[in-house]
Amino acid sequence: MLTGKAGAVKILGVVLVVALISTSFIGCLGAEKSAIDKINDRKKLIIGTSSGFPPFEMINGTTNNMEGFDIDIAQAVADSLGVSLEVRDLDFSFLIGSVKIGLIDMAVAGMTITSDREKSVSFSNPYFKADQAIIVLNGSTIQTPADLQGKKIAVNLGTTGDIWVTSNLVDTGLVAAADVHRFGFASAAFLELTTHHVDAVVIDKPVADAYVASAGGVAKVVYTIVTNEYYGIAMRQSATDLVSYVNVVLQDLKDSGQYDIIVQKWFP
Amino acid sequence: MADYLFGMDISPITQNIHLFYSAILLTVLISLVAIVLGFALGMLVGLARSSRSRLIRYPATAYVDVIRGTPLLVQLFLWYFGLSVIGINIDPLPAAMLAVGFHSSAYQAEIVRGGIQSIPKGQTEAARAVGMTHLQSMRFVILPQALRLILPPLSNEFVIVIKDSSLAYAISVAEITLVSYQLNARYYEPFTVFLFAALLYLILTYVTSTLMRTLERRVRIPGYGEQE
Repeated sequence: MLTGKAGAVKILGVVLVVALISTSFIGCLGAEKSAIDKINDRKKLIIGTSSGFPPFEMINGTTNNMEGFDIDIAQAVADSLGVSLEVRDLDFSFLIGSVKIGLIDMAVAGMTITSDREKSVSFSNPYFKADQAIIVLNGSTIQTPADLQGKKIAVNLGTTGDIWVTSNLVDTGLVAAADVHRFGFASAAFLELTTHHVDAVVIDKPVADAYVASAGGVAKVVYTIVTNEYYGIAMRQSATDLVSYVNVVLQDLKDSGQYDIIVQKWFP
Repeated sequence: MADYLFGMDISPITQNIHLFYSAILLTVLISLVAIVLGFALGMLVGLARSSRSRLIRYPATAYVDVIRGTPLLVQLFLWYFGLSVIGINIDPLPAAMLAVGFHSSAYQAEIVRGGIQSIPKGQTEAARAVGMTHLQSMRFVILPQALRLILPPLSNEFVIVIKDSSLAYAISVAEITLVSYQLNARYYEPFTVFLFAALLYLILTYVTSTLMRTLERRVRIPGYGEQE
């Protein structure tokens, strides 16, 4: 088939066609599209969050949609870009990995800015300040971190609460490693408390307060662990344009008073 | 200071390899208990499923259908969280062993039943003809053959149990999957950590399959099954 002069012509023909087609793709080898360009092309801002973290992100019982302080902030960014917002509910410990790989544009999940995390992602300017807190069931005698010695604790896996318990209680020998129950969603940690599997939950204070308020009086916040944490929005390190843009949006929200309105809405 | 393998940064693994020692132990422990529990229950239920009495057969069938018809993860949550609601407080590790064990028992029951029912009727008839009771024919004629016959599908089920044990991560049992999960939460390198987890499970399942194959060879009846 491909022998002799006729064969040679055929092969040349195929090579020519392939070369012509390939050259038409050279334009695509240009500079990587910027993060904002990709979002605009997609007409959608994709954020990742981890539900069960009131009042920052939780699933509305009636509408089945995600809502909360973080969602409103993310919505403001999407509105500013003029695109729709898609919220993906993920295990908290998968959020940064997802941002790094590019599965989501940003993670808005009450995520504390830490130097460890900054090795993997870029954070926006801080948009919220928080501490940690200890939640126990009513009737518990636990009052301080020292009282947690020998007790069982539930935390949200990968959060600063998890890290605090590990460094301050497990590494010091106050609590056995096996007595710390870690879950990908905060709601599971709360469930551990109400099912009497653990004696306490260590989690961000604003979330602890919101949970206790909604828990119908079965639990109480007994101690505030002052950690002076700041939440930031996590984005890919290469998405420098998006990071600057988000910071501008955050500043606008503060300047226009819209930020205070959102705070009032979720922390009445 | 990072360690590299094929261009991949494996320091999350190498710097935390000690965490995997107890994790592997837990995976093996859960799997062993679940396999033994599954086999003990599976034998009982499998025999019940093969019974001529409907009173015994029907509940056994319901048991198998319900367990095989619901996801293991859901059963795990029922054992761990569900029992608490009715006042029975169970720790994560026992809950995982029970959930995986009971789940496996339904599949092992079907394997046992299949083995028993594939023994030719002639064997039972001959046994009864020489004066054995039903129980004696089971014990001396049917079961020795059936149990050897089911070693291959049983080996398959044991491998499945080892993989199923990974679901215990969801109720915070520090076995291989949870440890990998936690490393991902610290280093944000999902590919590296989960690839390593997969490798560990592969070693465990390969060792199990090999052991079972050795067992098959050792209990083989010479000349059995060959055509006359």
